[in-house]
Amino acid sequence: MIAPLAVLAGLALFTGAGAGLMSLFALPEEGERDPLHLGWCFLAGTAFAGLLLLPPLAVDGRIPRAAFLLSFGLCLVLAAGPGRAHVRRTGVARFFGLDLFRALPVPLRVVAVLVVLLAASAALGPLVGWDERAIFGLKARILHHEGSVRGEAFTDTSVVHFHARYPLLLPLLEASLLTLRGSGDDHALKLMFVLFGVSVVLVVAGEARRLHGPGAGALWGLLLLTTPMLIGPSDGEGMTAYADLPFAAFATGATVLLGRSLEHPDRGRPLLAGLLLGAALATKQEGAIWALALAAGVLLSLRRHAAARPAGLARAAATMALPALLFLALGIAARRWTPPAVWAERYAAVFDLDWLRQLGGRPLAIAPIVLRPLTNWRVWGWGWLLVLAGLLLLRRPRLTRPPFFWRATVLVVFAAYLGVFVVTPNDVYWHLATALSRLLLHLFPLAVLILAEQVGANGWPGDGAAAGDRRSAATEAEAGSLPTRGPGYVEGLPR
Amino acid sequence: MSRKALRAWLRGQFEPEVVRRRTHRGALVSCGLFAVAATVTLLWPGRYTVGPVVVSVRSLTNPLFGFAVSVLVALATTRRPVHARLEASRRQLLAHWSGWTTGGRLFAIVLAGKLCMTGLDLVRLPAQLFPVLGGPRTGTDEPLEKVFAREGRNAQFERFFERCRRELPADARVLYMGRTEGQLLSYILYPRPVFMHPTDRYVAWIGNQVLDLGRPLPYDDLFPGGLPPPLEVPSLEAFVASRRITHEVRFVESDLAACRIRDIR
Repeated sequence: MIAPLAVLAGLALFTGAGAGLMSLFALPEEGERDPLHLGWCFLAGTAFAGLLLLPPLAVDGRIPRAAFLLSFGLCLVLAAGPGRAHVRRTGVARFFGLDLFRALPVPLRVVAVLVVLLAASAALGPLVGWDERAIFGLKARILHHEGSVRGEAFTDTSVVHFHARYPLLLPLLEASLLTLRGSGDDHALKLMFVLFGVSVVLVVAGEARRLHGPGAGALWGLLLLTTPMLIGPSDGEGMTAYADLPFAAFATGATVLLGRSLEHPDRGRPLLAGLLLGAALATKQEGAIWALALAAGVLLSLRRHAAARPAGLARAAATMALPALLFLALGIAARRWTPPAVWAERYAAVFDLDWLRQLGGRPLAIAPIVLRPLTNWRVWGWGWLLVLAGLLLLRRPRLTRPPFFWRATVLVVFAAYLGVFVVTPNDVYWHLATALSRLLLHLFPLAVLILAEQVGANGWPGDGAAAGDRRSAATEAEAGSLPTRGPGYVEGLPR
Repeated sequence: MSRKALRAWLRGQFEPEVVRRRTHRGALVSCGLFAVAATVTLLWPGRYTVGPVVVSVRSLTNPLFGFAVSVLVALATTRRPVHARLEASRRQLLAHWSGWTTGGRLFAIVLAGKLCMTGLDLVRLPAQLFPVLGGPRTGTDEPLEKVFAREGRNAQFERFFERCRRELPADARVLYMGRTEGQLLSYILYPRPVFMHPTDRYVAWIGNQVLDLGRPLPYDDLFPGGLPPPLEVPSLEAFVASRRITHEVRFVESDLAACRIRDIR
């Protein structure tokens, strides 16, 4: 009984610290449309904890138990002071997303409660999957037990320690919870991943609510929550303690906040976006791809919609880059003690021209496998098919800047992931079989958000297209990127 | 009570409105009871003795089925019958349908299909999340011989590694001979370090990529399997001596006789 309580206490401290950061960052109050709820606070809190725990490893490769306790102490200070004030200001019900929950019809509320209870109950068990033990769980136990990445487990490549050079945020968070519990027992550790799942659902639902109201937000959130890949227990799915769900949560959060910053560049949102992007970089190596994709997305968006205040946008970009680069530097420094394994991950070999010349047929060869998730209901519940159908079948008015930015980012990341599969030095079918679904999970929350925006802007299923148009025009006018349109704006649209 | 009054009272008991109300209440109570049963099954599965009755709460199937039936009965006996609601929804849907574009209608069909898929997924979810509740499973006290005879590779090495965890001393330094499942042994045995000879590890990594997919090793220069194993590989004896290895663990799929835990000091 103590184990789950200790884990819950740790998670509450992370969330409280995140709520404290919301106050300190002076984030603009999002008002009725999307309060800074549990989801944002948990993501910010875990990222903050990572930022506190990485420096000792970066400096001399050791992290004493006191460092874990100190980070919890700081979390407690933040939670008890500014965090409590933030929750009081937001309102307890809205902080926990209960307003979204109440926007659901009663039978769907039952479904939502049952799904979350099922997941939480299953999370009380031990770790049983592959990577969650072989990669992340082992690192967490080493960090908790030895407090170092300079022991033989990290430095001797003949010790069986899979992907010893992987980013360390997730093992550090797990080691924190183990420290709070006082043992290496892995029961109930998965509660953290349930909270990551709830967080990403709240982020997507909150953004959908901001755009199209609480009903839409709640329904799209539930649709995301009930996707098997998010809630299932097979390898790589949300209910396993793999890094993909936390990564998806951090990356989605960073993208949503950056999208908002493109409309209203200030200091708070980019700082939080940078913190989340940095956490994504410290969670999985794909964070580097995501960072480049965000930059590409911003550039493409600016090419399409000129910035009203370029200086403000440049300041926001610099503010965002700061925490992300700090995370990157700390991650690289913490990795310098660990030599690379010679038999795996030979990605340097893919830059060989002889190798690249022989890959011409690969894109076509892997296309059927890449398209398979469209109809795979056991993993995606037809989620990708729905996204594709919505984007292809529903007509809509011109895209405003944030939705365009989301789409550009998702496309660049997707293209980059496909590129990795095309040039992989591993057996390509094995690589696809083990990694494709997990990589698509990174994109799926944002894809649901894109679909929610598309459906809302189309006005489907009611007659809200005109309302969607008016909303789009108003948003653009508010951002100052387009002149205010007259009443004839809607008439010329392909309807 | 006169016979007439009794008849009137009895007739009153079977008035459609009274029956509906009582059925509705009964269904709501059943919902609660089945929800409690499901919660007990999730959190504290087992066999309970209540006086002379032994209640087995090990499967989620019956509580969830009962809960679903109770919900349906409760919905069907509300003051405004569910078929009237469905009729109103149908009319509303038809009104919308006629106003949609062809694309919108196609999207509606895909959405309906997606909701069906979601329903199916949710029905499967409890048994997926709680495999112990989904059907028969190997008990932790079952002899390894039976596990190796009946179960697949994963169950075999999981059970064998559990035995390793129990039998190896706390200060053991282990040489693992097998395939990539050694990664899990490393987690299970921690803080006892687990080593693999570089050649074994290389072969395991390659084998992981192709043998697990049921395909033979390729004779392809482009594939890393075609690359030579790591150079400057020490002999097994030198490797064991340099790492101060004390025990050897070997796992061979479906061959318990070849699996071993050995002191090699």
